[in-house]
Amino acid sequence: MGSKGFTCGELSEEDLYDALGELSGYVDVTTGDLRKIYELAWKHASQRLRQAVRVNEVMTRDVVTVDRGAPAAEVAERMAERCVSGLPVLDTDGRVAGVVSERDLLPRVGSARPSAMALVAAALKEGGTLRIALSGPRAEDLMSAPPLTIRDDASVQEALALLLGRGINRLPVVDGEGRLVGIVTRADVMVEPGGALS
Amino acid sequence: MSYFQKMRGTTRSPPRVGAWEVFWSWVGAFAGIGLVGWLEQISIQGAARALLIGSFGATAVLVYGAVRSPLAQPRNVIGGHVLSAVVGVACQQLLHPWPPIAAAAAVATAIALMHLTRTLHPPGGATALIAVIGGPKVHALGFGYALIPVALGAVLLVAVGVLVNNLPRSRRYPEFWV
Repeated sequence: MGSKGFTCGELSEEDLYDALGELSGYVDVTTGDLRKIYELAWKHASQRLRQAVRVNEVMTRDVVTVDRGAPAAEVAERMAERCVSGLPVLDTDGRVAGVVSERDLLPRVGSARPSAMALVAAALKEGGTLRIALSGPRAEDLMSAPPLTIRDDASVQEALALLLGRGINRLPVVDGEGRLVGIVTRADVMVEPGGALS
Repeated sequence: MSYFQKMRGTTRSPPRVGAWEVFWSWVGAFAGIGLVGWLEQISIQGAARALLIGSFGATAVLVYGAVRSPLAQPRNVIGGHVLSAVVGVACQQLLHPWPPIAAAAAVATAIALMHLTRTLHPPGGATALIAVIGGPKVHALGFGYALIPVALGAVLLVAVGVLVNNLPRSRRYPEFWV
């Protein structure tokens, strides 16, 4: 998602100057202040919009998940086939038990740094294949728990605050009983005025 | 930005206004100042009471030359002038043994109070200053200075502004009253 309009940074000095010139009288403001006012107003409008929009309006409902007992191989496979960098781990009753991400998986397969490319680099340097323990861990061993989740009736602003404040990329969305109903990423919650939602 | 970096300036002045705007600014200022000057001449007390004080020239720049500026609106013109006159007279009466301090206090305090009351009007600083440096004729008026010439002149200039600034289609005045 993202706004179809332009960003603040695309307002040029000439745009602002010409705008001032279109008002018939003397306008007591510099282009610098005009730009600042515009950016601040935009920021306020974005916040207001994000407070009004609910998480369940922007979330992805079709979520790829694994059970607690899923082996690491299955976790990695699911992530690979849906091209996600993380997924929720569910209990039998549909509640979110934890979240597994690339960061949790890669150290377990010999990559010191949580980066897929570091893994490739290490393999290339050693000129061979990776040595991975045959009795691999399961999803519940790898996951981060308790998971950070958000209610589906929470505002997009709350979701954004959580994502940015905790430095995470995805938030499982749960209903009143804690069952998974969807997932949101940073891209989903960056609702802007003039964008697809307004 | 550091103290010295701030002095370098970061932006530029707004664009020049068109010729039509310049023309009407001239007409409005001529009418406004002309009216106050003429009334001063025909006033009953003869040459005794001044009506056209220096700060009205500054007000004319705003009311006829920068008509959409918040500084030019009636609340600012009348409120700013009257408040500054009162402050100026008070400073003169309290601090007259030390003229530079009276003058400085008058202007500085006028600005502060205009800010607090949202009546900022640059010529108000001049009105406050004139209350101190205007000489014996002004001092003799006491707080009456705030009514005549200050309030009366300010009201007349605003009235002319309302009448003349709205004549061309491209202009309107005021933007707000209070």
